[in-house]
Amino acid sequence: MINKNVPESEKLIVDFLNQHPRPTNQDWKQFIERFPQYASAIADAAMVRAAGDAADAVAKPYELDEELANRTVSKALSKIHQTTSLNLAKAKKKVESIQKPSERKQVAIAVGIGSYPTLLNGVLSGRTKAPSKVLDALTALFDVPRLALVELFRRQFEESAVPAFKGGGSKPRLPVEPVSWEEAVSGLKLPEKETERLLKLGRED
Amino acid sequence: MRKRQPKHESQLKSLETWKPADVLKRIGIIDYKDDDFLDSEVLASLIRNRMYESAGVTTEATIVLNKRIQILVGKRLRLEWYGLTSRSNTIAADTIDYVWDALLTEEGLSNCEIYFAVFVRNRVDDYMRHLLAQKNSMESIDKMTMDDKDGNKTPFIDMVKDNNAETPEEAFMRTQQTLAVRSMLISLPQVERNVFYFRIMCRYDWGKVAEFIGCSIPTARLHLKRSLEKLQGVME
Repeated sequence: MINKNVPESEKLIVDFLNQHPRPTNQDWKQFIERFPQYASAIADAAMVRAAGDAADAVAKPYELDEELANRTVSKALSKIHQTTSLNLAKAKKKVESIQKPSERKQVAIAVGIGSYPTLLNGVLSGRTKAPSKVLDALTALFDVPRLALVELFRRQFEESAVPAFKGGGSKPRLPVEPVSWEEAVSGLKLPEKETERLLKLGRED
Repeated sequence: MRKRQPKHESQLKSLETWKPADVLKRIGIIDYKDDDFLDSEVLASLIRNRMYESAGVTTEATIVLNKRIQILVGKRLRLEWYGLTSRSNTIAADTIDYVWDALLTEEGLSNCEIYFAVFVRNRVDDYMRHLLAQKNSMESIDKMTMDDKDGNKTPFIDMVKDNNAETPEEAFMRTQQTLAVRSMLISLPQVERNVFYFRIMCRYDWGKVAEFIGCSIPTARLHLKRSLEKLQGVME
């Protein structure tokens, strides 16, 4: 494991390599001249890059080592299953942060739904399939990857509590998958113009 | 601002609506010419966001992506980086482990979801620099001394005679870019490979080389002489 206290020179090198995906000798020289105090570290970085590129350029194909693949994948899988996805965790936090009805209304307006927080509630709880446009707006608003939101909503739906049913005249009905956007919008019984505007969001997918 | 490639964006959007079983089938496609083949950037996104984790999609994507990482890492480590490690398999396993750490710990959109091969290449280089830094901290030829019979300490570097300045070998080396040379360069003590780099690769004047290394010009020349001798051995 690499020490987390990354030296300044290493940070500069990482930045430099991000800005120069294929650095030329001249690029390296300019870099050295800008930071002569880190000349040695920069020279090492240049040589590591050149050595790696030379190895990459060898035409002979690399043969997969099954034993190595098995060993490394076990470690990777245990890392993945023992940790939480940072994106999922952030998405969850963002969704949970909008609790108050007034905040939900504001978000609903911001993502193009309008002042119908019920629809937004359905999306955030995973009960309603969100149109692509709404998903994109939520992604931008929460600053999380779209896939993280999709997965979060899916999990919210799967984990949602099953309501208790009391004896009644009809059979209880449990949704096995989220309701479509069209169904959710129609269920609101909004004025025709608003219904059409909201349905249009779904049709743009 | 970082942005996914449109092809990956559209692959991911289509996967959102697929059933887990269908996603698993697509992950299993190994022919990259197949229209349904999933690029590494997409697999990285599935893993980073734990897509359909309970249905085994994350696991399957990890198995496939790990093989692709191994190929990228294995190719780049082909020269075995001798001097940094004695066993190439150990270094490969450690490097792959490091790539996974980097892949899983970045928040937001990671570079691995934009250009996967570039991401892996940069992580391999990060790791090699780290190993090199470790090696550097373990040895310093400048600090080595020799004791004479009266117990006086003389810097080791001063015991090496400086007969040459620029030699024909230097000119020869300038044109050599072979794997063996590159590999040997990495295995040299830091000061020797740095002098080689500044003088031969960058063609700095001796004053500048000495300044970068933090030594006198004659000492810098000695370091170059020693590095050239070792490299010449490889060339022969």
